[in-house]
Amino acid sequence: MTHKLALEVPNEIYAPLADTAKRTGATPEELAVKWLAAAAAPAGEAAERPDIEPHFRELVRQWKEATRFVSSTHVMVSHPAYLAIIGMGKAALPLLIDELRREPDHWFIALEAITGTNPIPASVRGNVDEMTKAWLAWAEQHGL
Amino acid sequence: MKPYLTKAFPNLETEGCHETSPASEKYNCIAWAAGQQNQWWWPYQHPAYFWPEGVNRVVTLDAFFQAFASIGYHQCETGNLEVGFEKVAIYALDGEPTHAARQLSDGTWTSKLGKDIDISHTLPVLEGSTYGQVVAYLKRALGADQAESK
Repeated sequence: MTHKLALEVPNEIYAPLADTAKRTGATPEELAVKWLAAAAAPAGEAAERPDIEPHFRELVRQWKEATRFVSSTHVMVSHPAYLAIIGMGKAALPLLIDELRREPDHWFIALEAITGTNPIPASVRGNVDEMTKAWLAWAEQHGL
Repeated sequence: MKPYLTKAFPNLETEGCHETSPASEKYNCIAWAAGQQNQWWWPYQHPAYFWPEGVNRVVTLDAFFQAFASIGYHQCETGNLEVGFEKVAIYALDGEPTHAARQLSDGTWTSKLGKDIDISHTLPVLEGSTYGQVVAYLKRALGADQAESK
């Protein structure tokens, strides 16, 4: 059974969605469904499925290796391993936060895609240290 | 030379380079060329990523020219050392900007390689399948960065 949803989204959400879709060959609708499915996954799933951690770590390794010399945020966040992590949904959230604590990196787009929130204040845009702090503060507030 | 570097940039085998800073995910080549070490500059359509105010967030040479124009750079013909000026070289692959390098006072160039290390190098060293070719040069008068911030 399927349901039809008509959504209005602001440009700051639609534009990166359309851009990622263009680069991956998917449609914005297909990506939105994937992200919605991830957001709808029950929280705490990671604890119930400890087997996802090795897969998560392997995806992180692949992504870091493939994007080592990349400056393009577009290329970084549309890499298949990065998208696969987003596709793991809320189950990946504790692992992503742990990764951000251990070895800060550009997980901000994945975190926003999974949680549907963006705790980064406009005043620190582009500052990876401050963006990391904003997400770790959010994680603490949410018991992660 | 680290094998992972020569794999991505085969010209390093013959030309070499000098590592000048350790790897960092805090800034990228565009920020480094613009003189920043605490920001990641890219025209990504998300407000979390820095891009100069008023410049289109699109991955085009024109948008990159405008981004550097916001800190005083304008296009020039060559990457030759010119007294009184500092220069930036833009690399592109299939017409899309991929990388920027900044000229040092001795005429060599400095680059931040994505999230990896900073190096000093010649421009051809980084040409190839990873970053493409140098397609444009920009310059500004030395001291223009201070003038811009006044």
